[in-house]
Amino acid sequence: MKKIDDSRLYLFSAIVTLIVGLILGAVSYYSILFVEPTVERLLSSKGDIDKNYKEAYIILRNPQIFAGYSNFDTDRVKNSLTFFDNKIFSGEKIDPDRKIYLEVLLDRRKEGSILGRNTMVFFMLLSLVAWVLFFNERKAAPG
Amino acid sequence: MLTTGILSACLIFLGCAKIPDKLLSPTIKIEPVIKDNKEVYNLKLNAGILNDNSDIALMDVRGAVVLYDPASKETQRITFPFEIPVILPFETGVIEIQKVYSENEIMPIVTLLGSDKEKLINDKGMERSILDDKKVKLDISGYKKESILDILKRKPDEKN
Repeated sequence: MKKIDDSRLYLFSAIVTLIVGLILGAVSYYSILFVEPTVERLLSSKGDIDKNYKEAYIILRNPQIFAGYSNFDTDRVKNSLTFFDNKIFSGEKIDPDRKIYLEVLLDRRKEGSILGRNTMVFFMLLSLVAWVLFFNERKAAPG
Repeated sequence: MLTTGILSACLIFLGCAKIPDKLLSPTIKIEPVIKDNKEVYNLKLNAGILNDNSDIALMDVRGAVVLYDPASKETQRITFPFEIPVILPFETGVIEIQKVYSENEIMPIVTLLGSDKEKLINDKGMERSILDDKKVKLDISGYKKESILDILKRKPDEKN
């Protein structure tokens, strides 16, 4: 019986899962390495609290791909968003006591990044399995 | 090429905004008052409309609260136009309408709300929450959608 050559299928799966993993990794690590430290720096600043907190909020208002703000969010997240949207929209000052609500949004972003990173690992493992199967198939192929 | 792609994605994204389609807690209060030695009726209508979008602000929302009598053949009874400058994400825009009516104008509304002139005069007014969706409807005629991020980024510049 003629053996079917599955190497093209394995190669295709390996490349697709690798690309998906790389995209997820890039997005997650951009947040982990650049966005989150910037927000943390702004939140730990001692002077010009209002300006720094507003800047931090505008960064956090653009959600991480795995941590989009939706209708299913907890009231803590929703209330933080409506509070800061209103404050900035009406040009009111943000006082230091409100840091805790910005931290809620930062934690939410961090959870999204970790979820993205873990999903990247999952796709990389899938890709690895597909590569192993691909090379195994190539080795076993006649000729 | 990349810019076109991003713009297209933004347009698709903005196109998917949810538009409010029902009123939250509509309440009508009618009180008889004397104005220029004439008896007139003060009507106050309060309701809310929720912007259920997480990242889209609704600007210049125009529309009307329409009162219907489901039992009547002439279905549309009276409209109360309103305008709300801005409803931020997850916020409830407040509709507050205050109008003065003559007796002839107010009585159809009073009847629609399940009361009559006698009760209205005896109780010195009436207040009703309209829970029946068939009696009150929201009719949005115009609005603009804008990303909350764009609005917030613009705000510090507007101050300077």
